[in-house]
Formats: sequence, C-alpha cells, structure tokens
Amino acid sequence: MGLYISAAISGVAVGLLYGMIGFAIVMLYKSTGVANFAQGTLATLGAFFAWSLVTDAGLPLLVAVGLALIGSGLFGALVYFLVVRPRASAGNLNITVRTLGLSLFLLAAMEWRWGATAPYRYPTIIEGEGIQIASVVLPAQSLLIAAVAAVIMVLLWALFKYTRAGLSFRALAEQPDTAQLLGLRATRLSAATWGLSAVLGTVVGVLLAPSAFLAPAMMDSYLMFTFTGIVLGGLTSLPGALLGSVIDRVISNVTIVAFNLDTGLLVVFAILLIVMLLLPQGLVGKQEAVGR
Amino acid sequence: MRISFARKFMPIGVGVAAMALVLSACTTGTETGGDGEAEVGVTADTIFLAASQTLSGPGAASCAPSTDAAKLYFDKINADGGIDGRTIDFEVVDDAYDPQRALANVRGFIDKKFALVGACGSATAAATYKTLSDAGMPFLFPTNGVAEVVKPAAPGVFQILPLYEDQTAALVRFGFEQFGAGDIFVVVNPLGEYESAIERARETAEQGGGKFLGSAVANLGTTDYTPIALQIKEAKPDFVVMSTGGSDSAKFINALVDQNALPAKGVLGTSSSVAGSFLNSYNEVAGPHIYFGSATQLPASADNECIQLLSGGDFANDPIAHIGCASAMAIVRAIEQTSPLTREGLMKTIESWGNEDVSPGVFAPVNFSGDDHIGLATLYIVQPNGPEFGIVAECPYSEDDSAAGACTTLG
Repeated sequence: MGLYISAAISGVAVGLLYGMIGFAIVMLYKSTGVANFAQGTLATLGAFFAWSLVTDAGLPLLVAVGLALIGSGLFGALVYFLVVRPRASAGNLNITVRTLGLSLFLLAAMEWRWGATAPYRYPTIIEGEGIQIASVVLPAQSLLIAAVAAVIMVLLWALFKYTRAGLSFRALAEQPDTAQLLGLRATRLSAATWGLSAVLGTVVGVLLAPSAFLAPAMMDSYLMFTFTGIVLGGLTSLPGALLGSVIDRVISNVTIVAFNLDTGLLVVFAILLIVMLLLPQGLVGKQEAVGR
Repeated sequence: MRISFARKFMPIGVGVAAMALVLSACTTGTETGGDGEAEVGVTADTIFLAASQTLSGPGAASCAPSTDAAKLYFDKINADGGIDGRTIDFEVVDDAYDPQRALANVRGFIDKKFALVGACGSATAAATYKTLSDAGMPFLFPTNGVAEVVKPAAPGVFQILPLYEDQTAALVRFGFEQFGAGDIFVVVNPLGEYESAIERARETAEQGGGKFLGSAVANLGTTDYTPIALQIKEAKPDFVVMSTGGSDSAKFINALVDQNALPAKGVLGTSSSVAGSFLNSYNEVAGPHIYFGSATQLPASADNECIQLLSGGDFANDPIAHIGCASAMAIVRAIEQTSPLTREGLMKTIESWGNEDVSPGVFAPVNFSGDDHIGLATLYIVQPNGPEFGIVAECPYSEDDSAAGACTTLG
C-alpha cells in the first residue's frame, strides 16, 4: 500500500506541472477560442532564451528568467500580430491549424540554433533536499512547482472573475462581434492574451527544464498528457486543467507501479473516453461551453 | 465527341516519360566499380553512400551525432583526394526512429547507393536489414542491439557493436565478480528486441547466485521515471540493470537519486546509455554507482584520426560521435581494400578481417567471418566522471556465458 500512496503523491506533484502547461492553453482558449498547439514550443523557446542569457551573457538565473518573461510576453504579442491577426475571419479552426504550423516552425528554428548538442543541463531555481511523504521524496523543485501553480491559478481565476480585463477577455472569446460593438479593443486585448500565454509558457519551461532537460522537443511528450488533463477537467476551466492533470497523473502513476507503463497509458485514455462520453464538458467545465 | 490530338496521345506521352524516368533512375549512380565492373552507386569519380537516421523525435539528440561525425570523416577523406580518386557522396535522411519510415528510406536507396551506413538504432535496423540483405546491399555497422539482425549472419549485414542481450549478461557477470552476487531489477526502453536483454540478465544473475526481482519497460522519451524509481526503492535490489537511451538514462538515474533509490551495489547499463546526451544531464552524485558497457575506449586515444577531427567541436566527448566516425573509418578501410569495388567484394573484404585495427584507440580490433558478423568481442566497462567517461574494466563477452572469461579491472 505504501508504494501506491507514494506513487499517488508523486502523481500529484507531476500533475501540478502538467496543470500549469494546461493553464496557458485554457487561458488562451477561454480568451480567444483558439487551442494553441504552439504552447509547448513557446514554453521551450522561453526556457532557451533564459538559458542563453545565463550561459552566453553570464547573467544570474533569476535576472535571466525575468528578462525571458518580458521577452516572451513581447514575442507572444508579436505572434498574435504576425500569425493570428492576419485574415482572422478565417475562423478559429484555421487559426488553430496556424498554431500547429507555428509550432513546427519554432521547433525547426530551435533545432537549427540549439539542436546539435541538446539536451542541456538546466539550472534549478531553488536547491535543497525536498521533503519526504510516505516513501516518496518531493524534490525542492517539485515543491516550487506546486507553489507557483497555486499562485498562478489564483491570479488567473481572479483575473477572469473579478477584473474588467478578464471579463473583457471572456466577452471577446464568447461574443467577439458584440464585444467589439460595445467598444472593447479587440486587437489590444487579444495581443495581451497571447503575450500572457507566452509568459505562462516560459514559467512552465523554466520550471520543467531541470528535470526534462532542455532540448527543442522537450515539451513534445508532455503536451499529449496536458491535453488529456485539460479535456478531462474541462477545456474552459482553469481549476479543471489542474484537477484533470492531477487525476490523470495519479491514475497513471498508480497503474504503472501496479502493472506497467503500457497499462498506465491504457487506463488513462480509457478514463478520458468514458468521461468524454458521460460528461462532454469535462469534470468541472461548463455545460454551455460545449456544442458551440 | 471528338478527342483532341493532345488528349488522345497524352497518356502515351506520359507513359513514355515515366518509362524514361524509371530507366534513368535505374542507371543513376550505376557506372563502374573500377576495372570495368558495373556496380550500383559507384561511378568513375564518386561512391554513393547513404544513411537513414533518427534526426527528429526523442532519440534525435542521442543519435544524430553519429552520422554528423561520419560525414565529417568522409568530408576529410574527400578533401584529401578521396579513395582511389573517387569522392564519397554521403546522404543522410530522417526516419524519426520509425521503422516503416526507415524501410521506405532504404528502399529508395537500394538502386542508387553503393552501401547503407548504419545509424541508430535497433528498431530501424530490424525493420530494414532483410530488405537490404535480399537486395545484396551492404549494411555497414548499424548501432543495433537486436539479435535477429546479425544472428545468424545475414549476407551483407555487419555490425561492430555487441548486442544488448550479450551486454546485459556481461554486465551482470562484471557486477557479480566485482561486488559479489546479488538481486537485480532490470529497466529497459523498447530499443528493438528488449525482452532478450531482460532474459539474459535474469539467466546470468540466477546462474551467478543472484535473484531476479522484476523489470520495467518505459517508452523512449518517458517524462517521469519516478514511479519506476519507487518500484525499485520498494524492491531494494543490489543491482539495477538498464538498457535505455542517453537522455532517458539520465532521467532515470536522476529519479533514482531524487528518491534515494540507488541500488546498494551498482547501476549496470548497456552502451545505449553511453552518450553525450547522458553526460550533459545526469546527476553527478550517481557517478560512482554507475557502470556502463561501452563498445569504445573512453576516453579515446588522442592519436586517433576521428578524435583529432572531432576535437574542439560540438561532439568532442560524445561516444556516439566516436562510434559514428570510427565506423566511417572502418568503411573507408573496407572500400580501400576492395578491388574491383563491388558490393560482393566489399562483403568478402569485411568477412576476411581478423584482428583488424579499423580505428585504433576507439575500437578494439575487430573480427568477422562468414558466419559471425559482430565485430567486437570486448566490452569496456566505463564510469561517468563529470563531463566524460573513463574505463574501469574490460570484459570479454560471448553469447555463450560459459565461454566468456573474467573481466579485467583497469585503473
């Protein structure tokens, strides 16, 4: 039993990380109606940017991360103007496919620039022993991830729930024409959303790289499970992204130690299928968000 | 209804054009192997070689340096005037470690290239070797761990590196000789035929007085090895035997360190872990507990042409690059020794090699024969120390455990 408890606790820690990747995707989806397939490569690019500032420019890690966050925010806005805004009337499906193209483009660019000798060892933001719960040790980096995930979730929840900007984001996503008629500045809001999404991606990239090792395709393996988690939780729900990802990883880890890795995958996707059949909006997503 | 002249004769025209294209494709690169012998992929001034390599996906970081390094060596040979006046044209295409994609690549090479230069890895080699062998195209020195590729010896298919199953057996023998018998837990990525690697480790451990506690199979590119580390922590083996890719090996080792789950006596890993991608990212705390099998001497001799060529570059310390370049040296030597240059002649040349020092200071001398197409009979045991590996022992290995001698501890 101790092994299963440890595996479940470990699943919670990893699930929080997946949930953070999910935050960025859900936030953009809530605000623009676009599922951003370039979220992973934007996260990796941000992590590479910070790493370059440390290794090439000799900056301290925290300074480099700060600059990378600013840089990625600007880059996210640039992506909006260059990739999303032109011919925006083509529809969200078209824009979603554009994000797939952007992802492949960024991946190729990173392979060209950094791919030859990847992966790279990435510095951790905090060092330390971590803590032991049951027989599982939660490294300090995992504890940091949990704390950052909690802070980001609260901030985003408050943004969407209580701020004028957050309400404007939601209005723009759900009724873009009406929102513009009411005077909302769609271009500015959308650019800000893409910028914020890229910033969130960089946070994830910087936190993930010490354990995943920095490489252009670092996020590839994570994205599939991230999408599983956010669909499970509800594509329009920030807490759902977190909850779905944690459930996904806990089930996966416990099944792996009970059986094997293949069975872990099988069970996770079987549960996803069942949830989608019985609760199409996900575990905590809103009913009205489905079927638009 | 009247059919225009153009429409009427277009199908014929297209057919003739297609036939012409097919014929020209069939003759491309097929001129003379020297001394008047016609051979595929050899012209009066060029020898056409190719490789299907993992250039994208989770294995790319570990694999790509081997063909990059081979290309460096071929470029050097070309700069020095080529081989008997012929330069080497080396084309590398991506298969993303997808066996079907590798097979499609290889089929496109059979009528155009002289030989296929082996690359990563086991699954793609297993998917392609039979097609190549049936077509009479030499398949030279793949980084392969699957037994069926070279056992029994398939015509034209040669590899230098020992099979993973032979390596896991040799590693367990080394561990037991060095630290006493104990219980083992095996962790593998499905790099081709992985079951035999687990089975040979189990057999060797049980014959040596140890116990087999279990095994875990994790896909290449697994994001989190913590559940497997927890299983190992619970099982408390004396040895962990692993056959995993470079980056995955580092993730797995790091998970063992994080979970305080390093085994009591040591981590024994096959040569698939001996890669720059491992050195770039493993937790150095684990270094003294790690013993990996290596096909190459590490550090390699500074006098070796490949090491000189790679020095100062991106892959100077990457064992995968050493293997790629040293294999290219072996290919050049085989071509130099074959006259007239035909595929069949090249195969006979390699089968005649006995104690051939194809890349001194990187590979031990290699031996091939008509029924043995695995070149090396020595496995170096290496340990990571900071950014490089160092040899700690040398073990003879054999598919017959009883025939294998004891390991020699070095340094």
